[in-house]
Amino acid sequence: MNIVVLVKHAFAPEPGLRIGTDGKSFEKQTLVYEMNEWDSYAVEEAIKIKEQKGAEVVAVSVGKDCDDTLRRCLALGADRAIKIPYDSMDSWQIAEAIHMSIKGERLDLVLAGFQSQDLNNGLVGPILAGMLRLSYAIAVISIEFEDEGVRVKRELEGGFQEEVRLPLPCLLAVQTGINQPRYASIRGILRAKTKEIKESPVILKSSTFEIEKLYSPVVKKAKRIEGSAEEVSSKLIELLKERGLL
Amino acid sequence: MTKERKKRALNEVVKLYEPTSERKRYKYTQILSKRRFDPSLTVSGDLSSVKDELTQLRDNSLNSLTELIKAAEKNFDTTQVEFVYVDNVGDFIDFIKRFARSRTIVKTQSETVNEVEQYLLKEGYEIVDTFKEEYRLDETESNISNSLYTPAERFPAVSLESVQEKPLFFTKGEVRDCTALIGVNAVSVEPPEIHILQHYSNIGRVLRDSRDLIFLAGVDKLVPDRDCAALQTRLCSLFGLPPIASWEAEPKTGSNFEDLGRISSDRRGCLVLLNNGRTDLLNSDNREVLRCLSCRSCLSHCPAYGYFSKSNRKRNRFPLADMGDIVTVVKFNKITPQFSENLWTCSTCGMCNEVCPVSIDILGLWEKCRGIVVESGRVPAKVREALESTYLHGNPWQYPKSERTRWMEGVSGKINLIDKGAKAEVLYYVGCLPSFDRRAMEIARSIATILNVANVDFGVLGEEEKCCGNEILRIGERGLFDELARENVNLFNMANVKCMVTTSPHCYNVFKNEYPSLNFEIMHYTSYFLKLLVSGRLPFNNLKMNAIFHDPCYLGRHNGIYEDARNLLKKIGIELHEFRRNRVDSVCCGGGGGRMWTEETLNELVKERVREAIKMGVDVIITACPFCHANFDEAVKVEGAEEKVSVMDVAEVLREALP
Repeated sequence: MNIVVLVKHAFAPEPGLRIGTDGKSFEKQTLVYEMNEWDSYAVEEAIKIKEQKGAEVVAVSVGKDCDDTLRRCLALGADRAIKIPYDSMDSWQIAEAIHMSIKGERLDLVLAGFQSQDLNNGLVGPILAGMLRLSYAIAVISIEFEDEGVRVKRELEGGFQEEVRLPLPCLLAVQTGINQPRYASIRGILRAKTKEIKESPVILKSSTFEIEKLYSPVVKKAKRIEGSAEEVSSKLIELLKERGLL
Repeated sequence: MTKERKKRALNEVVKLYEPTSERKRYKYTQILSKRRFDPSLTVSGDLSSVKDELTQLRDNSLNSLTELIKAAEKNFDTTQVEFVYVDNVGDFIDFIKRFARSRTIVKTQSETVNEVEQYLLKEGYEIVDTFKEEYRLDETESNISNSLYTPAERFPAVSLESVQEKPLFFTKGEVRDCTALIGVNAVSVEPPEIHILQHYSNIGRVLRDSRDLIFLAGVDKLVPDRDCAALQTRLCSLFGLPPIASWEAEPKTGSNFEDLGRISSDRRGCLVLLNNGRTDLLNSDNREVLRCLSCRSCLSHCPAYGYFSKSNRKRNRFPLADMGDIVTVVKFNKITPQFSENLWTCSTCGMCNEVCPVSIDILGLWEKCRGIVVESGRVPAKVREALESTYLHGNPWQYPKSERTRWMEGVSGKINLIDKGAKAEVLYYVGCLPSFDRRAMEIARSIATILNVANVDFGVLGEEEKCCGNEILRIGERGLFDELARENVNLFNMANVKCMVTTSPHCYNVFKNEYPSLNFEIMHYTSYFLKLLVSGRLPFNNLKMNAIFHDPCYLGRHNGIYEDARNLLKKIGIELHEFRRNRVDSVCCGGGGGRMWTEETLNELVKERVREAIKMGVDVIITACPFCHANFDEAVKVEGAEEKVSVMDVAEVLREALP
């Protein structure tokens, strides 16, 4: 089986972030990069399938500095990696770059994370599926292989789930919790240096995507409810009723 | 004319031992009130010399193991007791198919028997555990308020001589239609004699009444002569859990062994020596594992076993089986998923190493096993998160680096920031928890305040300070530790200080013992403050406090430092109470070994410590470690005892004594 898994070298959304003076980007030194959390579930799923059914797993990432993340994929069990050395926030552009880079690859399954932890767009997977003319399902929480394809469960709102069958090849964007990602030890990452990371020679067309403004949301101050236990609890009940929660 | 060798009966070859003194026959609860520790009855006077003797004995046997096996094979032929040497479990199964006349196997507690059990089950044998079935175990024994006893309290109230030899007797009449599979403590080879030694109570009535008795011994149980065998068995019976039937458990009446029908038949016995990879271990790094005699001493004193986890407690009222098989696991290099779960309950307190009578570095084995699991990637999610966070943010708590200096807000006086280029004589290494956690921050703030009052020229590494790596090592991620150590050493070299003072004993431990040698003195803050006080550099007022000190594992048991904090507190006027288990016997708070991230429930022993303190009428529990501090703080809250007792670190106490 041939699996391509998409991973993003994304920055961690955390309190230390600061917006730069141009008002359109983050201050570089406040950014801490790691493998996108959703993608780690996708990688784990790919490796699980490899262990159970046998597969070649190819990790693909878009980014000038995504080597760490690709190295980690290789340590986790991916066989080789493709690096597309561009930074971009344009989902279409990214999907196109991936589309061009994996043109020669045999494809039975494309796995991706549901969304990225830094931009939360959730677009690259479906756009790529369209470009590749593949059926796709997103927010996947379980995957079962059948004779003619896969049977997946999708997570919907309100605790509901939907079961979908797709033919292979297809693209699946997985949700967190689909599995328990394994850990890549430092020694494992060092050992993975023997595996190939190939740079893709594609050239990106210019993007029509432009950032106008980047700003922090207004922080509402937390209110403190004072008083005795009885006073506090009755105030709390009022508040909850106000918000329609009681 | 060759003399006919006298055919030996099974009960001439099998020797059983049991402590016969009345003192052994007591409930654990009574030990405290009726403790009559008579030094004249002890063996050579102390635990450590007995440890040495037994370790030596085991090592000698192991050193001559290959010769002993050869001698056994050669000479057992002449003693006319059936004897079989089997290289692996497959051969054992072949043997038992030939030898056993019944498909029902009765067994008692034995690690060697456990080794072969699953294969016997696969072959369709039925296995009856007589340990659980034959003896009624009192439910109330599992009452958690009976604390673990110290080695000194458990260890001989009896002397070696009182461990008497008892005969292996068979009840008269018909035998039971079953095959007994019995473990062995020692086998001595002195041609033409062989002797099989075990504890009397490890062989219950049902086993003795069986038609076929198989004594199954790992080859590591071979010893050169009868005296060695007797000494080994006697010493072993004094450690760990006494053979269960010799104390509280009463035999069940009308036990369901009646369906093991009695038949008229001869009785057969044999000794099986099982190798199964043991001789391979002789040449490996893990050779010491072969010294193990399954005395269960480690388990009896392990705070994790049966106490940290409620489900463990329910399942194992007496600490036998499952989690304790760390040594067996390493013996066979087999880490089962079930074992993997239990792997993370160890807090690395070191009690097991302290009490092991054959000096096995059990703690080291835990870490080795963890290392194997970490490299396979199959760690619990919380462990993974802590490790990844340490790699990414320099701390296991997922706080961003930029918040590492927030604890300094409002501390009066100057704090040199070494990461910004300042120089200082003393490096105060704050540590992760005191840097980020609201409550633990108070310890760091107290320490900084005291350093300033004493006019110490000190600095901190600020945002560049990284996790010391002690818990990373205990978790088994050697690669990550090496990276952290490399980066920290660079920082230290840049800092160019004369002395380092740490908040946490964990940091102290790893810098002192596991980092490459550093060219400055490393001290835990309590030792440093004592030094300042004694040399008159620290002004203080006398402080009256009704307090008790809790020894942290990493200052006490791991590094032998028990008196510095006590002296410091005494010098400022505090008369300290003592826990029943103090100093080397201190009860672990359960914070080490990665448990601060993996465990959500507080362990029972900490709550019990709090209850003990309250019973003594103590107002303040004084800790010297941020993990102990956090765990005791939580235990007090969980016990609803905030009005009765409070928790303070030594630094917080000292700060109150400042003029």
